[in-house]
This record gives sequence, structure tokens and C-alpha cells, in this order.
Amino acid sequence: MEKSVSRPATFEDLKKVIRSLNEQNADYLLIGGYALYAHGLYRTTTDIDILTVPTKGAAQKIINALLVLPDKAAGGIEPSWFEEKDTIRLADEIVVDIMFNAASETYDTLKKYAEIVEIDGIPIKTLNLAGLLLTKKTFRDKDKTDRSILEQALKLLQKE
Amino acid sequence: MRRVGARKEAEIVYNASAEKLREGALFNDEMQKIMPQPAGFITKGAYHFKTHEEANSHWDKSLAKLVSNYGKKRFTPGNF
Repeated sequence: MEKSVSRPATFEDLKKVIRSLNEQNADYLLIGGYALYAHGLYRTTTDIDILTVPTKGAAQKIINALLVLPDKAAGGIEPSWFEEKDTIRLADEIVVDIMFNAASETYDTLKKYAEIVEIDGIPIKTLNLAGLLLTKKTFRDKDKTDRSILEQALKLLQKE
Repeated sequence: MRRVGARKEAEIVYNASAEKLREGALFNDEMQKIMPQPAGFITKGAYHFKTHEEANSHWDKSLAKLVSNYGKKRFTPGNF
């Protein structure tokens, strides 16, 4: 693979990134493909998606955490980008998307759906199914498919 | 509908599960290994997008470039 492009993230990358976020006490929620896995919805993904808070304080912690990646591309992130609440894509050896809202849901609105799972001694902050479904209410085709499956599953679970 | 085989579909659960996350992540690792071409396609760097649409467009364009490059390599005259 070309060295100038990122490669797909692996399970080991996920653990490395999350461990580093935890060490920095960063406020984050794991969303996207890896969060779907935690609920039994398996489809391929190539990146790690995290939702965080739009403050300079959060920026420094997230940037420090992502400097764990080998190319140190996080050094190119401006802390002021966080306050502008825009989407940041870090393409280091792997891609990490840093978001401040997902389908208009923010870290603060999703906090009540937060759950922690522990893998190999690493606590991972993610969302329950209801919270994850809220992040999928977007126009993207990929999200429409995910949403349809999650909505059907949620209905079945509520009947039980 | 006629069911062939006895493989059980993965069960979707309300509360996040460490075991399911592990299983899904390992499944993804295996799927990436069997891809016909390397699936990395975003040029390295730190990007700042004003909207999700802009971020999605960057993703799609980068993916299209990968597919196009792969096609060029595959269909070079004499490369059949």
C-alpha cells in the first residue's frame, strides 16, 4: 500500500487509540462502525469515529491522545477547529474522524445513553442502542441501512 | 422463504457488549485481509471540514480515486 495514504484501522489500533484517550481523560464517545459491533451489527469499517466536546480543553486532550499514532499527524490539528464545531478528519497511519455532532446529537445530548465496555482492561465509552440509533438519523445511504436494522432490532427488543 | 444451512445470525443487543465489539472488530480485520486491493485511500494529513457533507464528499472522492487507480493498473494493455 502507498505510504502516503492511511490504511484501514484494526482492532489493535482501536485499543491503542482508546487507551490513549483514556490516559488523557478525554471526553469522547465511540460511535460509527466499531460502536455498531458492540451491539452485534457487523459490517466492514475502515476508520474510528469519535464524538467529543467542542472546547479548546477537549482539543488539547484529544490531540495529545492521537499523537500516539505513528505519523504524529495530530500535530497538524488546530485547537481552534474544535470551537468551530466542524468535523476533523485525522489521516495518520489510520483514519480517525473527530465529530462534535452526529445527526444533530452532541456529546451532551448523548451522555445519558453512554455505556462503558471493557476490553483487555481498556474501558471503552460508547452508546446503548437507542443512543446509537440517534446518531444514524442522517441522509447517508450507509446510515439509512444501519438505521433500518437498528430500528427493527429496537422494536423487537422492546417487545421482549 | 426457504432456509438453507443452520448458521445463526448475530443477535443485536440493546446494551453494548465487549464480546460483540471484539467479535465484530476481529471480523472486520479478517475482511480487510481478504480485500482484493489495499483499502486505505485517504491521503495522510489533518483535515478540517465545515460540514458533514464536505467530509463525506472528501471520503467519496478519495475512494473514487482509489478505485480509478486500481482500474488503471488492472486494465493496462497486456495486463490480462
